[in-house]
Amino acid sequence: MFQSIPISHYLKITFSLVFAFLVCSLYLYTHPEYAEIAESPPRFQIFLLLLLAYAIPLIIEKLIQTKIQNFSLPVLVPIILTFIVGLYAPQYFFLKEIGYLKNADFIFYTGLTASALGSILWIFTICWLTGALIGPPYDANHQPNWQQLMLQTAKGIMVFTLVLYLLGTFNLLHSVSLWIYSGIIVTLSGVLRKKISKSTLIPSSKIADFSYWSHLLIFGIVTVLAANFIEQLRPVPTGYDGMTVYANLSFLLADYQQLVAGFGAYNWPLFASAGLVLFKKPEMALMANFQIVVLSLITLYTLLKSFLGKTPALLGVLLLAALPSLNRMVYMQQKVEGAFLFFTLILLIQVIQFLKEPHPKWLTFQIGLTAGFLFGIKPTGILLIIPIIIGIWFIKTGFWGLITTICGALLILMNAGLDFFSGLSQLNSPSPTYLYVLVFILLGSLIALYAQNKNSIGRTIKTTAIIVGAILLAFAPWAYKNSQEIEQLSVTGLIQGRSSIHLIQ
Amino acid sequence: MRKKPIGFIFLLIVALSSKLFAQIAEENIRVPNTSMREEIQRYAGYEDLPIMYLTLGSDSFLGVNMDRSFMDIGFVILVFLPLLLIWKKTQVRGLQWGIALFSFGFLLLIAFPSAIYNYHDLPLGALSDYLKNYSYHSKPIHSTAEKIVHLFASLTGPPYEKIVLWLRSFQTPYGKWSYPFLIFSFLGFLIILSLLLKNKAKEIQFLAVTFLIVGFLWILFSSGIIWYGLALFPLSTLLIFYGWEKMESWKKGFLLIFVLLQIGFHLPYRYARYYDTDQSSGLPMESAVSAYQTRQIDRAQYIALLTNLPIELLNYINQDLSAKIYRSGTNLHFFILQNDKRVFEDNQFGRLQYFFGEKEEFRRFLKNKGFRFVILDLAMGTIDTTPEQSLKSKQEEAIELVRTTPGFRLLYTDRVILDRASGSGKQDLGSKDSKVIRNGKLAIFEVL
Repeated sequence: MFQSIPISHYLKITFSLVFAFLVCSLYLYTHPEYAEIAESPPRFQIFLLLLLAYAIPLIIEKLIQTKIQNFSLPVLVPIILTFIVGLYAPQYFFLKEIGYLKNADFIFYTGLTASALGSILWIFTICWLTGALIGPPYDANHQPNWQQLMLQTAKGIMVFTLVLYLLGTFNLLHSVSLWIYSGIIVTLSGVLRKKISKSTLIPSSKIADFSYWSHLLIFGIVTVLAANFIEQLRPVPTGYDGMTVYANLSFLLADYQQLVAGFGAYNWPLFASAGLVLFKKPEMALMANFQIVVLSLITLYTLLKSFLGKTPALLGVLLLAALPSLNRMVYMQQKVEGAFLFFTLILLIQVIQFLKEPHPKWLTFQIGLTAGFLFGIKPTGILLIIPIIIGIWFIKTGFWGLITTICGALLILMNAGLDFFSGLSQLNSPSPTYLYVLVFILLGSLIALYAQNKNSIGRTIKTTAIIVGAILLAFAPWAYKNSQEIEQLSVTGLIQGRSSIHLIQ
Repeated sequence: MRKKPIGFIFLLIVALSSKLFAQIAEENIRVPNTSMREEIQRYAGYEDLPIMYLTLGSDSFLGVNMDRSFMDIGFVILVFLPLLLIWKKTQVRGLQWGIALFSFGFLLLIAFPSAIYNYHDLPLGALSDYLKNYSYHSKPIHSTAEKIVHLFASLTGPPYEKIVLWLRSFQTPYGKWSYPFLIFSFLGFLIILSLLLKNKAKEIQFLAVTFLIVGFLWILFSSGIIWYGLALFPLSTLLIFYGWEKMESWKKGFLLIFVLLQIGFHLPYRYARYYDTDQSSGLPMESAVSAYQTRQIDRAQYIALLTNLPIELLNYINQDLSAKIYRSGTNLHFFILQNDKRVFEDNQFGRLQYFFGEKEEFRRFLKNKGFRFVILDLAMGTIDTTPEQSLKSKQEEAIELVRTTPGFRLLYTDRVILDRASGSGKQDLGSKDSKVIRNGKLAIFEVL
């Protein structure tokens, strides 16, 4: 009757508690701001209003269900309602607090938020339709889901950015060109309606599909997004990186109506400039960051949900959505990290799909294109792309594949002096002996790899070659642009383009 | 069947890539100045080299090197990634416990005491005195955390100091052996991990290996800049929550409590940020944004509030679009028209420092190259976390250079100094002896 529980079980619990408690204390120790927040929490009225906005549709649904069984409202209803209240309630109380309420023009504010949301929705729709048009249609039995929708949108963003690049190359980056492009996409969607309807149906989730726990988590995510939206709706960027590089670049692109020399590869500022070019409002350039974070959170949810249930997936999403670093980086500093996160997630989803057999033939190529686009958002994408290729080798060829590729990668990266970019090369001056040891391990593991995987190794090399080829293809437009700006052809020059050093030479 | 020369092809790829990438290394001219150390290493900290690398992860979670909200990535991952080592079942339990003991031993004896040292910028051996004279925070929640941490520090501080002293006794400098040590330790760890992952689902094997390699490359190359390791967030979240459905109830509850605790810190902070009218950042963001959104100010007024500059001055700088600008720091870049063609950015004075002591030479250089304005950030020194305060001293020297060289006209500064004649404050840079009432953020000069 009584099952004996091993002592290690209690040890585990005790140790876990002590360890977690210590880390938590250390974290509080280095973050005194949370103690201050805990003792003077934000306004309760706003929280109550937001909670009511979310709860009312749930209550209504429950009431109707007493008469009509199986009735359920779309989950978007409480989400949208909470978002709207989240736009007005904090604004109202804040203006009241600082004494600005009297002259506040809420009709203007409504127009401003509506136009910003409209512009986001329009660009998202164009990208989504573009992705759907070039993607393969689903079979009749396929159910639309959010993951498919995000994959299509990612594809659409990549194509749309390429179009912007081409327009920029020929000095045609102006609203007329973009409206023509939008018109073509909408028309094609109408003509090829069958293909669109087969492949791009928006998934619909109902309130009843989620538990109360899940609703609470969704509520948290929506309130964060609403707060971020208000903060994002500003006429100029504020963070240093945004003001000097990323958002600055979007404004320069819209101003010049052509590509800007220097800055290396800039897929995301180019994409973000579309809002400004199309709608001629400065806020719209910054709104791209809001849009992409929403897409990132949905993508993260679909990724987590494919491994976990709905509630833990939502918990993971809220954990990320509430992170001060992400919020500050994206909404305050206007960096490209939101886009980087989105394409990181898309890449992970594609690779996980690839690991399942059978997978579509084009998926390998698609992985490479996504990785190349990621590299074109920020070259630090290399820190993800290399591990992903090594991970594929590990899964396809086992232990020796892992050792061989990691040694090969480390040899390449250490030789390339990647640590120069972080300034850490100044602190290190190792003798090259360790590289010879790495070569020795590489050779040994290569022999073992070949002996164990005679039949499959060729396929893995082919996979790697396709991925690397597609990465180069996706980056080729930027390499071409950069090659036109530099005097002497070099790898760094192809990646970085012209630097501002020419101003003093 | 004809044998494919796979090995040869692979080696050729590595050799060619190495050659190609070695070219990048040659292209990267090693600039003999301290700019990189000031700008980038502040994210990684300035501890002894191997410890700097080894504690980069925990330092980042605890926010000890850069105490800024945009570096705040919570504590959940730091709690649960090590706990996975004792929570998850593997087929090689002895090995699993071995790694777990080693990891926790490292965190408790090196990483955490190092974080406390680092957070307070203490020299080795100064911890016990520092703790004795410590004045506790007024908020009970924070002071409780302080007492727990100090109790822990008093236990682990002495052994940590001994370990650092032992490392310092090595004859070979850190720079010689840090890379080989890190790389081969990592390879060893990877081998052990691949054994632990045996018989796990393919996806989990992939995610775990990818996570580990991204993490290692981040430690090796990122200098602690958290957004270079952004991919680690989804990967670690997946690893931590994986197996939720089958997780024992105590683990579920445990995970839930600490995840909700972090969310409980972060969510109110996010909401409260919106109400933060504190202007210490110098940017009247929230109130100005709200005023703009409700049409109480227009874009120009918003910019004037943001930059704290007379709009005429910006117009003056933007009048002649062929006039180049030397700029160090400040948030003015965005407001300079065609800034990509006109502005030379030298945030850490890496270029300007070559002219220290060569006053006239600097002016002549700027004039010859078509520079008409010099914009200096007066608050640049505040981001200097180097132990030697090199950026701060460069900043002071740079201001002196431009201020005292004939041929530079001060157009604007928001620094306020005491005017000894009238006894009140006035907007000026003054001299080295002037009493500064408000440091200010910028100074704009015209090259005559």
